[in-house]
Amino acid sequence: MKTVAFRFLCFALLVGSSVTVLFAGPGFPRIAAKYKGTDVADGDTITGTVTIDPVPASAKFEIDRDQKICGDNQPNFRLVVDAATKGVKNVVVFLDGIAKGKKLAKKQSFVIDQKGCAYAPHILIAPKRSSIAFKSSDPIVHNVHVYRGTLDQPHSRAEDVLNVAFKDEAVPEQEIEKRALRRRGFLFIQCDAGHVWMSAYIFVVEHPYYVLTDEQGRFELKDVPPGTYTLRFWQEGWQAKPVREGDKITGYEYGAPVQHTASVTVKTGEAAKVDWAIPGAAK
Amino acid sequence: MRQNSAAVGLTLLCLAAFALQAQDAEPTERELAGREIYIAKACWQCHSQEAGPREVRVAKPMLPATERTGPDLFQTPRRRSESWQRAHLFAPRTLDPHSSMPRFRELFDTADGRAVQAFLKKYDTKDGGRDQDGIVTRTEYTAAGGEDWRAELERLDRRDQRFGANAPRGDEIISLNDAAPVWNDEGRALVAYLGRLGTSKPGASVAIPPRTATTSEQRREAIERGSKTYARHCASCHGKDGAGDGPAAMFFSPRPRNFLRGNYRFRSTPVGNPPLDADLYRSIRRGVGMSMPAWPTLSDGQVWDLVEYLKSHHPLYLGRELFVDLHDDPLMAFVQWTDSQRTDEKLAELETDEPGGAQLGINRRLFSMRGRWWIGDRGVVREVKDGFVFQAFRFRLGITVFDWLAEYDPEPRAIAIGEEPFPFSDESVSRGERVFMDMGCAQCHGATGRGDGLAAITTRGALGEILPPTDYTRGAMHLKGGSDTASIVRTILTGMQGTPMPGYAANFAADPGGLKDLWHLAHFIQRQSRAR
Repeated sequence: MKTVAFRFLCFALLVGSSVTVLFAGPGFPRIAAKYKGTDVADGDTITGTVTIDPVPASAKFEIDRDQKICGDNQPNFRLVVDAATKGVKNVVVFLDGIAKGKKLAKKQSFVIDQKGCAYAPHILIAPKRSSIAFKSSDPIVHNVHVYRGTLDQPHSRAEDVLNVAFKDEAVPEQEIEKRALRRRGFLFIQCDAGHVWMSAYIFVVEHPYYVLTDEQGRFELKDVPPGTYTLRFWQEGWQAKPVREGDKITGYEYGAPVQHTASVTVKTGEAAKVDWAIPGAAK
Repeated sequence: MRQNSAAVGLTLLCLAAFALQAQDAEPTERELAGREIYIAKACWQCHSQEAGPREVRVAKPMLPATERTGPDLFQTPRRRSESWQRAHLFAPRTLDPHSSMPRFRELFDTADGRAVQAFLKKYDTKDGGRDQDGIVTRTEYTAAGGEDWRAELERLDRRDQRFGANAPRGDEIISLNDAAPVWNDEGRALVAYLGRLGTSKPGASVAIPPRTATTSEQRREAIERGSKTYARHCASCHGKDGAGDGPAAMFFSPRPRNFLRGNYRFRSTPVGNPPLDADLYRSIRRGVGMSMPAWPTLSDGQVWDLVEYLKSHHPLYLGRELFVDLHDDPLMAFVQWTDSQRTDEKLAELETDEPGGAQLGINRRLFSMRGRWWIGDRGVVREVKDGFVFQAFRFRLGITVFDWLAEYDPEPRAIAIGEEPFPFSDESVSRGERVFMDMGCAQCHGATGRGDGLAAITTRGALGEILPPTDYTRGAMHLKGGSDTASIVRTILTGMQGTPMPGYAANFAADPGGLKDLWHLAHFIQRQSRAR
């Protein structure tokens, strides 16, 4: 199938020599011509809320090793819902394929810490060309194994881009590896040192219109130039099924990410509002 | 030529020395049984078992008096792994289409039809279902009652993925890849005996000779020559397009490397970076662990040609600079270069018109690549049929561009490891053991290096399959990055891309003095693996 799809793509390219927008495979945001950063004076805001109702039951992560540091269990951080508003935290909301808008912040630095056998932050949005450092606050062995995936298949292990180790006597707070994020895309982090529940995601983005929802599930995209856009929502998927070998857990099978797209029109002086109610029972 | 044969000769002499050493140990019962089978199957009619010296003096073409039907088996185990033997005895022509070696299916356990099914899976869509050996067709198999073979295969595949936790220990030679044909008792004995003929230490350090191809024209020719060498020696496992799916691939676990992905394990560069050319050279020349044979018989030039050819599979190497420049949008480059209608004139126009170039997502730097690789290099393109030249180029490049995902250093450099600072000693081994524990190696590899650490059952490979940590005690062959001290240190520093093994280079960035510990550690690993 892949072959056929690529042949078709090639054929399409042959016919239309002025193609400027391409799809980079399933699940990838569109790659438009290079994003152009300018000053946006006449832009307005897109706001909204992501909610889920009913809230699906999600089991805790059982922990069967290194409990002194990691605890006996961890809450399912893959779905964090505010009890009062049913707002969902950590949903990535972004404008897909925007070609022009406010400037992308340059050369920022981010840190991902390993603390209590969890990555902090769990999801990170980092502008392209920023740098990222990894550190460990845990006095046990960890490794940071970074894979590149797609939004549809975030947990593919086919392409790994980084794999560094943290010794157990590693000095807390010491940044072990610092990397420039040269290419836009989607990264998935996993620990191979037995801490199978640990996971984190990095969005390396080419434009500034990416945002994470807050504790109440709210988001806000500021200074969007007037126009009609595709707004995409990405929730990592809360199902995490333990894979067992005897009485030991050897890994987790994660459910597919839950995604949504909406068309949104922004006019000067008129804030747009887009809400997404995740059908909680469906997944 | 003389130099080459001298190099080969030296290698063989070393092999002979190792082999003689190995023969000191008492043969096991199984090996003796294998010898009987060797005699019974009349292997001796075609294969000799003579030590190197005669072979050493003989350059190609062989003189009639030195000719034999099959190769001399004395050096076999150094070059051929158990997986390879399995492929070779089950279906010789999957490895070499011109082989005159007969099949020995009676050495395999095919009672439950697994081998047949596995073979069908491979050849189901090719040649109307007939495998290259012409053994069994799908129709024949179905007629024999094997209706539900596909579902059965999927079941076996799933089981195969989980097999890692039960990986065999010690000197027990059994199939690691459950879906492929497995030995029966006779087969196991024979392969044990073959292993006896010249068991040697793998992973001796390899001297890297200077390459000859330096200009783009020379590289193009090297790729052309390399493609022929590849088709002859490599395609049987790595596949004719380099996707790691050759006819013999199913016999190997882990599977042969997929070159289209460019995800190389054995490097001297930091984690996440492509290997240096010398690393590729070393892997070909020396072989890798249990599966990939060493290639002492290829000339230096042939190996360098192969290196160039392998690199042509991946855009990373096609235009390193190009991708540094266009890393955010390689597809733009892709569109540009695949537009065959654009004449050089048009390109020249764009080249001189900076703003126009910028609009198209291209720039001067891109065009400067032209003379070197992108348009200039048609070595890859030329094989393709008229009219679809660019399509095919695009096709191949297309896959790789989408798959090309590694963050990398624009100019990767080898991690400096230096010379071995002190000799191997018991004291060094025991210090190494402490380092082993301190660094947390035991978390995966276990306290004694048997690959049974706390995290061992959770480590996974590129397909999500369980990939057990290396069990050092299974022998030096299992140190896939090489078993000489420098190679072990290098493997620890660089990690193994595509596996859970991390690189430790960053841990020593602030404290280069600590690197000394790694040499102790390497000595400990050598002791555990009986490499010394």
